[in-house]
Amino acid sequence: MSVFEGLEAALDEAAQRHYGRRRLRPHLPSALAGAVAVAAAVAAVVLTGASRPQSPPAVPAQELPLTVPAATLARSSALTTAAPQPQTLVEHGALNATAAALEAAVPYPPGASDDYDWAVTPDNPRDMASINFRDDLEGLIDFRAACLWTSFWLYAHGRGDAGALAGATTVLNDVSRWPAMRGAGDGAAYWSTLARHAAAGEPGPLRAAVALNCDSVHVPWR
Amino acid sequence: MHEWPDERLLTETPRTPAAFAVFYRRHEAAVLGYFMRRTQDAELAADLAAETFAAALLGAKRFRADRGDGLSWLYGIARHRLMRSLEHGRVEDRARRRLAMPRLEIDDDLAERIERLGAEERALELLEKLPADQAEAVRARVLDQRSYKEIAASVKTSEAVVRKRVSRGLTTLRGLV
Repeated sequence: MSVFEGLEAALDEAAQRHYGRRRLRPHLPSALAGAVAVAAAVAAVVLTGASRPQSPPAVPAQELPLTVPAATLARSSALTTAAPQPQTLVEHGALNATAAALEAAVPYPPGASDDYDWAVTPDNPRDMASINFRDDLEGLIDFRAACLWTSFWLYAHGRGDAGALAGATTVLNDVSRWPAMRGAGDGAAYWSTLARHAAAGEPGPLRAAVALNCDSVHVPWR
Repeated sequence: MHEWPDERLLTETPRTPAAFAVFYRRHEAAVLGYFMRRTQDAELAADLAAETFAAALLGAKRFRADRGDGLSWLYGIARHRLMRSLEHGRVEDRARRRLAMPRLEIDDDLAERIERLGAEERALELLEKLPADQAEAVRARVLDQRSYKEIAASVKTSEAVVRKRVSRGLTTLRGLV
Protein backbone atom coordinates (compact mmCIF):
# COMPACT_ATOMS: atom_id res chain seq x y z
CA MET A 1 0.00 0.00 0.00
CA SER A 2 1.34 3.42 -0.83
CA VAL A 3 1.60 6.38 1.54
CA PHE A 4 -0.24 8.71 -0.80
CA GLU A 5 -2.94 6.50 -2.25
CA GLY A 6 -4.77 9.38 -3.89
CA LEU A 7 -1.71 10.32 -5.89
CA GLU A 8 -1.06 6.74 -6.89
CA ALA A 9 -4.64 6.38 -8.14
CA ALA A 10 -4.51 9.68 -10.01
CA LEU A 11 -1.20 8.77 -11.67
CA ASP A 12 -2.47 5.34 -12.58
CA GLU A 13 -5.56 6.84 -14.22
CA ALA A 14 -3.45 9.47 -15.95
CA ALA A 15 -1.09 6.77 -17.26
CA GLN A 16 -4.02 4.82 -18.68
CA ARG A 17 -5.47 7.93 -20.27
CA HIS A 18 -2.22 9.29 -21.62
CA TYR A 19 -0.73 6.10 -22.97
CA GLY A 20 -3.64 3.67 -23.08
CA ARG A 21 -5.86 5.85 -25.23
CA ARG A 22 -3.07 6.63 -27.67
CA ARG A 23 -2.65 2.96 -28.41
CA LEU A 24 -6.38 2.41 -28.85
CA ARG A 25 -7.19 5.28 -31.14
CA PRO A 26 -5.70 4.10 -34.43
CA HIS A 27 -7.55 0.81 -34.23
CA LEU A 28 -11.02 2.18 -33.61
CA PRO A 29 -13.52 3.83 -35.92
CA SER A 30 -13.89 7.47 -34.87
CA ALA A 31 -17.43 7.03 -33.51
CA LEU A 32 -16.39 4.11 -31.35
CA ALA A 33 -13.25 5.92 -30.18
CA GLY A 34 -15.48 8.81 -29.05
CA ALA A 35 -17.67 6.46 -27.05
CA VAL A 36 -14.66 4.90 -25.37
CA ALA A 37 -13.34 8.35 -24.53
CA VAL A 38 -16.64 9.44 -23.00
CA ALA A 39 -16.74 6.33 -20.86
CA ALA A 40 -13.22 7.01 -19.65
CA ALA A 41 -14.11 10.61 -18.95
CA VAL A 42 -16.87 9.53 -16.60
CA ALA A 43 -14.31 7.73 -14.49
CA ALA A 44 -11.87 10.60 -14.49
CA VAL A 45 -11.15 13.91 -16.12
CA VAL A 46 -10.45 12.90 -19.67
CA LEU A 47 -10.65 15.96 -21.79
CA THR A 48 -11.59 14.09 -24.91
CA GLY A 49 -14.46 14.30 -27.30
CA ALA A 50 -17.22 14.40 -24.68
CA SER A 51 -19.48 17.01 -26.24
CA ARG A 52 -22.01 19.24 -24.56
CA PRO A 53 -25.61 18.56 -25.53
CA GLN A 54 -26.86 20.33 -28.66
CA SER A 55 -23.40 21.02 -30.03
CA PRO A 56 -23.39 22.04 -33.70
CA PRO A 57 -22.85 19.29 -36.28
CA ALA A 58 -19.35 18.91 -37.72
CA VAL A 59 -18.71 20.90 -40.90
CA PRO A 60 -16.92 19.19 -43.79
CA ALA A 61 -13.31 20.38 -43.97
CA GLN A 62 -13.65 21.84 -47.45
CA GLU A 63 -16.43 24.17 -46.21
CA LEU A 64 -14.55 25.53 -43.22
CA PRO A 65 -13.71 29.22 -43.34
CA LEU A 66 -10.03 30.07 -43.15
CA THR A 67 -10.07 33.80 -42.58
CA VAL A 68 -9.36 34.78 -39.00
CA PRO A 69 -11.73 37.67 -38.22
CA ALA A 70 -10.29 40.85 -36.74
CA ALA A 71 -12.62 40.43 -33.77
CA THR A 72 -10.97 37.09 -32.98
CA LEU A 73 -7.52 38.66 -33.05
CA ALA A 74 -8.78 41.46 -30.82
CA ARG A 75 -10.19 38.93 -28.37
CA SER A 76 -6.83 37.17 -28.19
CA SER A 77 -5.02 40.44 -27.69
CA ALA A 78 -7.46 41.45 -24.93
CA LEU A 79 -6.70 38.23 -23.07
CA THR A 80 -3.01 39.12 -22.86
CA THR A 81 -3.84 41.89 -20.41
CA ALA A 82 -6.86 40.28 -18.72
CA ALA A 83 -6.63 39.38 -15.04
CA PRO A 84 -6.48 35.66 -14.21
CA GLN A 85 -9.56 34.03 -12.77
CA PRO A 86 -9.74 33.86 -8.96
CA GLN A 87 -9.33 30.55 -7.18
CA THR A 88 -13.01 30.32 -6.33
CA LEU A 89 -15.01 27.14 -6.01
CA VAL A 90 -17.26 26.10 -8.87
CA GLU A 91 -20.09 23.72 -8.08
CA HIS A 92 -20.11 20.67 -10.31
CA GLY A 93 -23.55 21.53 -11.64
CA ALA A 94 -22.29 24.94 -12.72
CA LEU A 95 -19.21 23.71 -14.60
CA ASN A 96 -20.68 23.87 -18.10
CA ALA A 97 -22.24 27.30 -17.55
CA THR A 98 -19.02 28.63 -16.04
CA ALA A 99 -17.02 27.12 -18.89
CA ALA A 100 -19.33 28.71 -21.44
CA ALA A 101 -18.85 32.11 -19.79
CA LEU A 102 -15.09 31.70 -19.79
CA GLU A 103 -15.03 30.43 -23.37
CA ALA A 104 -16.92 33.53 -24.48
CA ALA A 105 -13.76 35.52 -23.84
CA VAL A 106 -11.46 33.01 -25.55
CA PRO A 107 -10.69 33.24 -29.28
CA TYR A 108 -11.26 30.14 -31.35
CA PRO A 109 -10.12 29.45 -34.89
CA PRO A 110 -12.72 30.00 -37.63
CA GLY A 111 -15.18 27.13 -37.71
CA ALA A 112 -14.02 25.73 -34.37
CA SER A 113 -15.31 25.80 -30.83
CA ASP A 114 -14.78 23.81 -27.68
CA ASP A 115 -17.87 21.81 -26.85
CA TYR A 116 -16.29 19.60 -24.19
CA ASP A 117 -18.90 18.43 -21.70
CA TRP A 118 -17.43 19.32 -18.32
CA ALA A 119 -20.34 17.61 -16.61
CA VAL A 120 -18.74 14.23 -17.28
CA THR A 121 -16.00 15.01 -14.76
CA PRO A 122 -16.52 13.43 -11.31
CA ASP A 123 -19.13 15.10 -9.12
CA ASN A 124 -17.09 14.73 -5.95
CA PRO A 125 -14.60 17.37 -4.77
CA ARG A 126 -12.54 14.68 -3.03
CA ASP A 127 -12.09 12.79 -6.27
CA MET A 128 -8.66 13.51 -7.68
CA ALA A 129 -10.09 13.87 -11.15
CA SER A 130 -12.75 16.43 -10.28
CA ILE A 131 -12.60 20.11 -11.28
CA ASN A 132 -13.47 22.43 -8.44
CA PHE A 133 -11.86 25.80 -9.04
CA ARG A 134 -12.51 28.53 -11.54
CA ASP A 135 -8.83 29.06 -12.31
CA ASP A 136 -8.32 25.34 -12.98
CA LEU A 137 -11.22 25.41 -15.41
CA GLU A 138 -9.77 28.48 -17.11
CA GLY A 139 -6.40 26.76 -17.44
CA LEU A 140 -7.91 23.74 -19.15
CA ILE A 141 -10.07 25.88 -21.45
CA ASP A 142 -7.08 28.03 -22.47
CA PHE A 143 -4.91 24.97 -23.03
CA ARG A 144 -7.56 23.35 -25.21
CA ALA A 145 -8.04 26.58 -27.19
CA ALA A 146 -4.28 26.83 -27.70
CA CYS A 147 -4.34 23.27 -29.01
CA LEU A 148 -7.06 24.23 -31.49
CA TRP A 149 -4.97 27.17 -32.71
CA THR A 150 -1.91 24.96 -33.09
CA SER A 151 -3.94 22.50 -35.15
CA PHE A 152 -5.45 25.34 -37.19
CA TRP A 153 -1.97 26.72 -37.88
CA LEU A 154 -0.92 23.30 -39.22
CA TYR A 155 -4.05 23.11 -41.36
CA ALA A 156 -3.47 26.61 -42.77
CA HIS A 157 0.18 25.73 -43.38
CA GLY A 158 -0.82 22.61 -45.24
CA ARG A 159 -3.28 24.56 -47.37
CA GLY A 160 -0.71 27.27 -48.03
CA ASP A 161 -3.12 29.99 -46.91
CA ALA A 162 -0.91 32.93 -45.95
CA GLY A 163 -3.73 34.97 -44.43
CA ALA A 164 -4.94 32.17 -42.16
CA LEU A 165 -1.37 31.34 -41.24
CA ALA A 166 -0.69 34.94 -40.24
CA GLY A 167 -3.82 35.04 -38.08
CA ALA A 168 -2.97 31.76 -36.35
CA THR A 169 0.61 32.90 -35.81
CA THR A 170 -0.61 36.12 -34.20
CA VAL A 171 -2.86 34.24 -31.79
CA LEU A 172 -0.18 31.66 -30.95
CA ASN A 173 2.14 34.53 -30.15
CA ASP A 174 -0.46 35.78 -27.62
CA VAL A 175 -1.11 32.40 -25.97
CA SER A 176 1.80 32.52 -23.53
CA ARG A 177 0.37 35.76 -22.15
CA TRP A 178 -3.20 34.56 -21.72
CA PRO A 179 -4.12 34.69 -18.03
CA ALA A 180 -3.98 30.97 -17.26
CA MET A 181 -0.78 30.49 -19.23
CA ARG A 182 0.93 33.33 -17.41
CA GLY A 183 0.42 31.43 -14.16
CA ALA A 184 1.17 27.96 -15.47
CA GLY A 185 4.83 27.58 -14.49
CA ASP A 186 6.87 26.81 -17.58
CA GLY A 187 3.68 26.69 -19.64
CA ALA A 188 4.40 30.21 -20.83
CA ALA A 189 7.85 29.16 -22.04
CA TYR A 190 6.34 26.13 -23.76
CA TRP A 191 3.85 28.21 -25.74
CA SER A 192 6.41 30.95 -26.45
CA THR A 193 8.68 28.36 -28.00
CA LEU A 194 5.87 27.01 -30.14
CA ALA A 195 4.98 30.55 -31.20
CA ARG A 196 8.57 31.15 -32.30
CA HIS A 197 8.47 28.00 -34.43
CA ALA A 198 5.14 29.14 -35.88
CA ALA A 199 6.57 32.56 -36.73
CA ALA A 200 9.55 30.85 -38.37
CA GLY A 201 7.20 28.69 -40.44
CA GLU A 202 8.42 25.44 -38.88
CA PRO A 203 5.57 22.91 -38.67
CA GLY A 204 7.58 20.07 -37.07
CA PRO A 205 7.51 21.24 -33.43
CA LEU A 206 3.83 22.20 -33.73
CA ARG A 207 2.98 18.81 -35.19
CA ALA A 208 4.81 17.13 -32.33
CA ALA A 209 3.03 19.31 -29.78
CA VAL A 210 -0.37 18.40 -31.19
CA ALA A 211 0.48 14.70 -31.25
CA LEU A 212 1.85 14.70 -27.71
CA ASN A 213 -0.38 17.12 -25.84
CA CYS A 214 -3.46 17.85 -27.88
CA ASP A 215 -4.60 14.47 -29.08
CA SER A 216 -7.66 14.65 -26.81
CA VAL A 217 -8.94 17.90 -28.34
CA HIS A 218 -11.32 17.43 -31.24
CA VAL A 219 -10.43 19.47 -34.32
CA PRO A 220 -12.65 19.85 -37.38
CA TRP A 221 -9.79 20.02 -39.90
CA ARG A 222 -8.46 16.49 -39.89
CA MET B 1 6.28 -6.57 -13.28
CA HIS B 2 7.11 -6.03 -9.60
CA GLU B 3 10.52 -7.56 -10.16
CA TRP B 4 11.35 -5.37 -13.13
CA PRO B 5 14.16 -2.85 -12.65
CA ASP B 6 13.25 0.84 -12.70
CA GLU B 7 14.55 1.29 -16.22
CA ARG B 8 12.30 -1.41 -17.61
CA LEU B 9 9.27 -0.04 -15.74
CA LEU B 10 9.84 3.36 -17.34
CA THR B 11 10.50 2.13 -20.86
CA GLU B 12 7.49 -0.19 -20.70
CA THR B 13 5.11 2.49 -19.37
CA PRO B 14 3.95 3.73 -22.82
CA ARG B 15 3.01 0.16 -23.79
CA THR B 16 2.00 -1.02 -20.31
CA PRO B 17 0.76 2.01 -18.37
CA ALA B 18 0.31 -0.05 -15.18
CA ALA B 19 4.10 -0.29 -14.95
CA PHE B 20 4.25 3.32 -13.80
CA ALA B 21 2.21 2.53 -10.66
CA VAL B 22 4.89 0.00 -9.68
CA PHE B 23 7.60 2.61 -10.26
CA TYR B 24 5.60 5.11 -8.19
CA ARG B 25 5.07 2.76 -5.25
CA ARG B 26 8.74 1.84 -5.25
CA HIS B 27 9.94 5.43 -4.90
CA GLU B 28 7.12 7.51 -3.44
CA ALA B 29 8.34 7.31 0.17
CA ALA B 30 11.86 8.38 -0.75
CA VAL B 31 10.65 11.24 -2.94
CA LEU B 32 8.14 12.48 -0.35
CA GLY B 33 10.84 12.26 2.31
CA TYR B 34 13.28 14.09 0.07
CA PHE B 35 10.88 16.99 -0.41
CA MET B 36 9.71 16.99 3.22
CA ARG B 37 13.28 17.19 4.43
CA ARG B 38 13.99 20.16 2.19
CA THR B 39 10.77 22.14 2.50
CA GLN B 40 9.70 21.27 6.06
CA ASP B 41 6.14 21.50 4.79
CA ALA B 42 4.08 18.36 4.18
CA GLU B 43 1.62 20.00 1.78
CA LEU B 44 4.40 21.50 -0.26
CA ALA B 45 6.23 18.17 -0.26
CA ALA B 46 3.10 16.39 -1.50
CA ASP B 47 2.58 19.02 -4.19
CA LEU B 48 6.18 18.73 -5.39
CA ALA B 49 6.05 14.94 -5.35
CA ALA B 50 2.84 14.96 -7.38
CA GLU B 51 4.34 17.27 -10.00
CA THR B 52 7.58 15.25 -10.07
CA PHE B 53 5.81 11.95 -10.71
CA ALA B 54 3.45 13.55 -13.23
CA ALA B 55 6.47 14.91 -15.11
CA ALA B 56 8.11 11.49 -14.90
CA LEU B 57 4.98 9.88 -16.30
CA LEU B 58 4.92 12.31 -19.22
CA GLY B 59 8.65 11.87 -19.77
CA ALA B 60 8.65 8.07 -19.56
CA LYS B 61 8.32 7.79 -23.33
CA ARG B 62 11.59 9.71 -23.71
CA PHE B 63 13.49 7.86 -20.99
CA ARG B 64 16.63 6.20 -22.29
CA ALA B 65 18.20 3.55 -20.08
CA ASP B 66 21.52 3.91 -21.89
CA ARG B 67 21.81 7.49 -20.59
CA GLY B 68 21.49 6.68 -16.90
CA ASP B 69 19.48 4.79 -14.32
CA GLY B 70 15.84 5.45 -13.60
CA LEU B 71 16.30 6.58 -10.02
CA SER B 72 18.87 9.25 -10.92
CA TRP B 73 16.57 10.41 -13.68
CA LEU B 74 13.67 10.69 -11.21
CA TYR B 75 15.77 12.64 -8.71
CA GLY B 76 16.93 14.90 -11.52
CA ILE B 77 13.28 15.79 -12.14
CA ALA B 78 12.71 16.20 -8.39
CA ARG B 79 15.67 18.55 -7.97
CA HIS B 80 14.56 20.59 -10.96
CA ARG B 81 11.03 20.93 -9.60
CA LEU B 82 12.36 21.93 -6.19
CA MET B 83 14.64 24.59 -7.65
CA ARG B 84 11.86 25.98 -9.83
CA SER B 85 9.55 26.21 -6.84
CA LEU B 86 12.22 28.08 -4.87
CA GLU B 87 12.80 30.46 -7.78
CA HIS B 88 9.14 31.19 -8.37
CA GLY B 89 7.80 30.91 -4.85
CA ARG B 90 5.24 28.30 -5.84
CA VAL B 91 5.04 24.77 -7.19
CA GLU B 92 4.52 24.59 -10.93
CA ASP B 93 1.72 22.35 -12.14
CA ARG B 94 2.27 22.09 -15.85
CA ALA B 95 2.67 18.32 -15.93
CA ARG B 96 -0.45 17.78 -13.86
CA ARG B 97 -2.42 20.15 -16.05
CA ARG B 98 -1.28 18.32 -19.14
CA LEU B 99 -2.45 15.09 -17.58
CA ALA B 100 -5.68 16.74 -16.33
CA MET B 101 -4.79 15.88 -12.74
CA PRO B 102 -6.57 18.33 -10.43
CA ARG B 103 -5.48 19.58 -7.03
CA LEU B 104 -4.73 17.05 -4.30
CA GLU B 105 -6.38 16.77 -0.92
CA ILE B 106 -3.88 16.56 1.94
CA ASP B 107 -5.51 15.64 5.25
CA ASP B 108 -3.84 15.69 8.67
CA ASP B 109 -3.17 11.96 8.63
CA LEU B 110 -1.37 12.11 5.31
CA ALA B 111 0.57 15.20 6.41
CA GLU B 112 1.77 13.31 9.49
CA ARG B 113 2.92 10.36 7.41
CA ILE B 114 4.83 12.66 5.08
CA GLU B 115 6.45 14.39 8.05
CA ARG B 116 7.59 11.00 9.35
CA LEU B 117 9.11 10.23 5.95
CA GLY B 118 11.03 13.49 6.18
CA ALA B 119 12.39 12.45 9.57
CA GLU B 120 13.40 9.06 8.18
CA GLU B 121 15.15 10.74 5.28
CA ARG B 122 17.03 12.90 7.76
CA ALA B 123 17.96 9.81 9.75
CA LEU B 124 19.25 8.07 6.64
CA GLU B 125 21.31 11.14 5.75
CA LEU B 126 22.85 11.12 9.21
CA LEU B 127 23.50 7.39 9.05
CA GLU B 128 25.67 7.97 6.00
CA LYS B 129 28.02 9.98 8.21
CA LEU B 130 28.68 6.99 10.50
CA PRO B 131 31.27 4.26 9.96
CA ALA B 132 29.68 1.44 7.98
CA ASP B 133 29.53 -1.07 10.84
CA GLN B 134 27.84 1.41 13.19
CA ALA B 135 25.44 2.62 10.50
CA GLU B 136 24.42 -0.95 9.75
CA ALA B 137 23.87 -1.70 13.42
CA VAL B 138 21.83 1.47 14.07
CA ARG B 139 19.75 0.96 10.97
CA ALA B 140 18.96 -2.65 11.90
CA ARG B 141 18.21 -1.90 15.53
CA VAL B 142 16.47 1.51 15.39
CA LEU B 143 14.91 1.77 11.94
CA ASP B 144 14.19 -1.89 11.26
CA GLN B 145 13.59 -2.69 14.97
CA ARG B 146 15.37 -6.03 14.83
CA SER B 147 16.59 -7.72 18.01
CA TYR B 148 20.25 -7.61 19.01
CA LYS B 149 20.34 -11.39 18.79
CA GLU B 150 19.04 -11.41 15.24
CA ILE B 151 21.41 -8.64 14.13
CA ALA B 152 24.37 -10.41 15.74
CA ALA B 153 23.49 -13.61 13.90
CA SER B 154 23.12 -11.87 10.57
CA VAL B 155 26.50 -10.13 10.74
CA LYS B 156 28.20 -13.11 12.44
CA THR B 157 29.34 -11.36 15.58
CA SER B 158 28.36 -11.26 19.23
CA GLU B 159 25.41 -9.38 20.71
CA ALA B 160 27.83 -7.39 22.86
CA VAL B 161 29.62 -6.07 19.77
CA VAL B 162 26.34 -5.11 18.14
CA ARG B 163 25.22 -3.32 21.31
CA LYS B 164 28.48 -1.41 21.40
CA ARG B 165 28.17 -0.40 17.74
CA VAL B 166 24.61 0.80 18.24
CA SER B 167 25.60 2.72 21.35
CA ARG B 168 28.57 4.40 19.66
CA GLY B 169 26.54 5.14 16.56
CA LEU B 170 23.73 6.79 18.54
CA THR B 171 26.24 8.83 20.54
CA THR B 172 27.79 10.10 17.30
CA LEU B 173 24.37 10.88 15.87
CA ARG B 174 23.43 12.92 18.95
CA GLY B 175 26.50 15.03 18.32
CA LEU B 176 25.47 15.58 14.69
CA VAL B 177 21.87 16.63 15.33
